[in-house]
Amino acid sequence: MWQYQKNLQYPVKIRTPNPKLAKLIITQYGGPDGELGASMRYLSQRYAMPYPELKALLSDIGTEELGHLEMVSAMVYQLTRNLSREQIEQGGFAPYFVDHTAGIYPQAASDLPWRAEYIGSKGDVLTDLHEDLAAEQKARTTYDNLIRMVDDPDVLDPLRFLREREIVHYQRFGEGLRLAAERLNSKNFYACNPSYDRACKRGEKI
Amino acid sequence: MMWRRRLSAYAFAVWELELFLDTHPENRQAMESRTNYRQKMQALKDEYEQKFGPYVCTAADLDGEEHWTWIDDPWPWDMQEGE
Repeated sequence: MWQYQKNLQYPVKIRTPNPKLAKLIITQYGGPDGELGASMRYLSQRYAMPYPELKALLSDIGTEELGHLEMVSAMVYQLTRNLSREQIEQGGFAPYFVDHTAGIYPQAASDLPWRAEYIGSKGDVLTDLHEDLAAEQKARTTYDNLIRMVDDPDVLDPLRFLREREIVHYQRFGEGLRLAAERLNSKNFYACNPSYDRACKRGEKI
Repeated sequence: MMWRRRLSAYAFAVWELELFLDTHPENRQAMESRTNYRQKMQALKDEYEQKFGPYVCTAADLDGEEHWTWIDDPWPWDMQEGE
């Protein structure tokens, strides 16, 4: 189960509302490489993990991603508070406002709503860990792009924190992949799945 | 509020070491470091809760309280204008 901590993982205090930035940053809530997909990806994949280190890692990183989802929502919430009609129109926020007012809705910067196709859960330890490594890099690139578009230090500070976390998660998933690969047959150079490719269990060529 | 920031910093150090231990479960140095930060976090958390009320729901001690303090503002996303 999960228990809520009434605290953000890293503080978010944005003094100046900015609906234009909110429309970009919401992509890390419900976009293709956002935190909603990240949490659902790892928390769904963990049941197929055959080793205790990996069950723990997917559970813990999946949980941390829920905390990042909360930070991104807090950013969007604070960027869209107390808006005037002029700010809504000039910030390009009017279409979102008509659909959702200033409610938090999972969508990409390109307006596409969140889709389950953003995540993979293949039931194979090697396949899923490779997806996770790629997902962390894609999320890191998205934070890089956001950081390029932002000047407000109140917004940059939590974005930089979140970017760093993608790098740390990538590192941990890399160690997870190494742990999994080490438990394959030492001659299993191509890291095929011994539960499917019986030849690789015997250390033969397929 | 400096309290929250300091508490977050200790909690973060503990969390980071826990993730590290997931893939390095035999690492004594990381285990000791986690214990150290956890003790610092717990001491600060106790002090925080005496001053500001519950940090997590189960920590809510209702002795002497007139209402269910868990609901009290601020929630983590709230802004006090002019803060």
